[in-house]
Amino acid sequence: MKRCTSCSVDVESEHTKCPLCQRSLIEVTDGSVSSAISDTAWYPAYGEGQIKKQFQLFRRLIDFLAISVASIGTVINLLTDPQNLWCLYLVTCVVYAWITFRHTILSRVHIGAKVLVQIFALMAFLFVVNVLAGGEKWSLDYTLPFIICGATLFITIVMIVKRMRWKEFSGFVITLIILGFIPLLLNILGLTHAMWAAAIAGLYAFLTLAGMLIFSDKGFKDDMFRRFHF
Amino acid sequence: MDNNDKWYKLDHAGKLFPSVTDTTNTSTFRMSMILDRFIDPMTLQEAVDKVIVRFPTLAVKLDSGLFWRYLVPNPNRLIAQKEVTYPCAPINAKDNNGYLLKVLYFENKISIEVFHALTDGSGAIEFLKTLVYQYLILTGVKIHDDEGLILQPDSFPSRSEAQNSFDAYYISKPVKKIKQNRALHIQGTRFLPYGHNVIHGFMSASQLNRIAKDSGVTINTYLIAILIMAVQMARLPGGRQSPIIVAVPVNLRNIFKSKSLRNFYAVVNIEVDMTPEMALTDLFVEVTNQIQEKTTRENLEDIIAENMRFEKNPASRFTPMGIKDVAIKTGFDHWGENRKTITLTNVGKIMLPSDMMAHTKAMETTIYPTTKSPVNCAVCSLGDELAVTFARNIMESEVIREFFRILVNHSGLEVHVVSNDWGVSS
Repeated sequence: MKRCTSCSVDVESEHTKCPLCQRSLIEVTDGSVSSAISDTAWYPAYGEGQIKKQFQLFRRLIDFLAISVASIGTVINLLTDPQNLWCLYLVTCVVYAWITFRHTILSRVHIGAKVLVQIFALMAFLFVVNVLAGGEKWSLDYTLPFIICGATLFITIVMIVKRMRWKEFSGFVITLIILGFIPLLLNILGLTHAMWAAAIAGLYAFLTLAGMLIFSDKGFKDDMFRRFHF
Repeated sequence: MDNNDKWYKLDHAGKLFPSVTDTTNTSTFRMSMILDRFIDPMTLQEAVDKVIVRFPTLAVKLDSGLFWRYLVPNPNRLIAQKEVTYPCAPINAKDNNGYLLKVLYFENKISIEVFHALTDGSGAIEFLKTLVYQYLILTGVKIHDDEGLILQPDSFPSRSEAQNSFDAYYISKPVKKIKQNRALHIQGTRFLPYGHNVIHGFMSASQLNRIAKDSGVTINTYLIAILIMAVQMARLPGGRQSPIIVAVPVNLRNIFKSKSLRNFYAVVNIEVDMTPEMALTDLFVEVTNQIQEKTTRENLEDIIAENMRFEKNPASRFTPMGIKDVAIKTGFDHWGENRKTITLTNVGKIMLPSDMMAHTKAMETTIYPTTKSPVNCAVCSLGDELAVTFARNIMESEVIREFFRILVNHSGLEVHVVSNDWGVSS
């Protein structure tokens, strides 16, 4: 047993300094506190291995690389050809690539969340490219409905393959079903013009929902109830 | 009904924690028992496998709905792990088979770490008691629990244990607007790498009780008053004279009838505007008066009503979870964290069968510090051993040092200090 004369407390033997004031301790033999506490090791020695330095370094390298490419490209563009802002394409590509690396590839989130974020990132990327290039709204008219259909099909296949873990994916498939009606909504609001593509996305979402309700067991319906409880 | 069909809506407190949790606010508390023997991992795992089934509200994983999160049964195995990192570290459900509960062992110590969305200290202690009971049984100890102090591993969980008591005792009533001041915040330099430094001070519970009684107060009031004085002594002279506010969680099971093993507590704030001439005896009177006034059934009903106003509001109920998260985090920072200096929670005296007491040396409980409340305090006792535990995420330890200095000077008690030494070079 040790004692800190400054704080007037006994200190567990393993300490070399007082945990309260960081002063040196003196050895005492006549401890008044029961040996129940004094002869017990309470905590492990903390190693540096707990810090995931290497992984953090890799992620930081990606961040730095993205900022470097975007800023260098922008400066070159502004210095050499300021009338033609091709750097906007470059920055859009860099942002999309950064999201893909950081979220879709490196993060440890659920695959369903990766698919959802990838949809939003890809759509934003294509929409910006579409706006920069001008012309028809192909990104909203055609790519949006088919990307949502593709993602819904992908998650449906994963759910069928991983039957034992279907519950993990049900929230994502419901989100995708809801997203499937968005092209139709945009069309009704007059923001898009390709009715057939929007109708296919809506129909596909509807059939996925109907298929889920008809072929699934009670568990899926219960899961719906849980996910929409308020 | 199939066990997998069961699910739980989060209780009022449980709705808060997932929205506000991050690395520096882990919402994870710890409870440990020190046994008279080295912990055998295989036996502990066997005990965990048996006991977790008895606590269905802890054997869950957190899922997200459109409007609220909820808890569903977790079919995976809860694995007992060797303690390697600092107490109350964030629980990553992915690394923990989906569980928001950890069972840890280190030499003679069995610890549980619990994400606060699942339960509070009173619920968690029942799990730890049953776990240690089962562990000792498996190691050959004969335990007679004639007083019914342990929830038996073989017994069936009752419905009352899974009750959402906040909902049961919620009364919709107009809430009195009480002006709450911005509290003094303890300042300091954050540990790098981030972690929690824990200091336990052990002392005689019976002697502390006698000394508190001699001062005309309870142990809780005595410790709160000393803590307020310690914060005052550690504060820098000059600057804004904000009040010192100690947040004290109150176990509502003692006031409302509830056997729930889920969250059921309310926080009362003990607020003192310190003046230079205030002595410890003045604080005893002030804290006693405030505790008596703020822990009446009527006042606690008001607190429940005020706290649950947001989740009962139809507009907020139909707001998607992502938006609610932002609102809850903002409210937590503004109305919760800004209005407290430090938390002091007292789990109380833990009762064990005498056969168990013979093999259990001590117990401690630790609560997580937060960004704005970087030093927090938890108290519990087992037998005659009372543990006051401070957890901090900053290098500066003035408040803790002052607390034990004032305690030792005023009470004359012998205090034995133990620490994990996180962030401190030895």
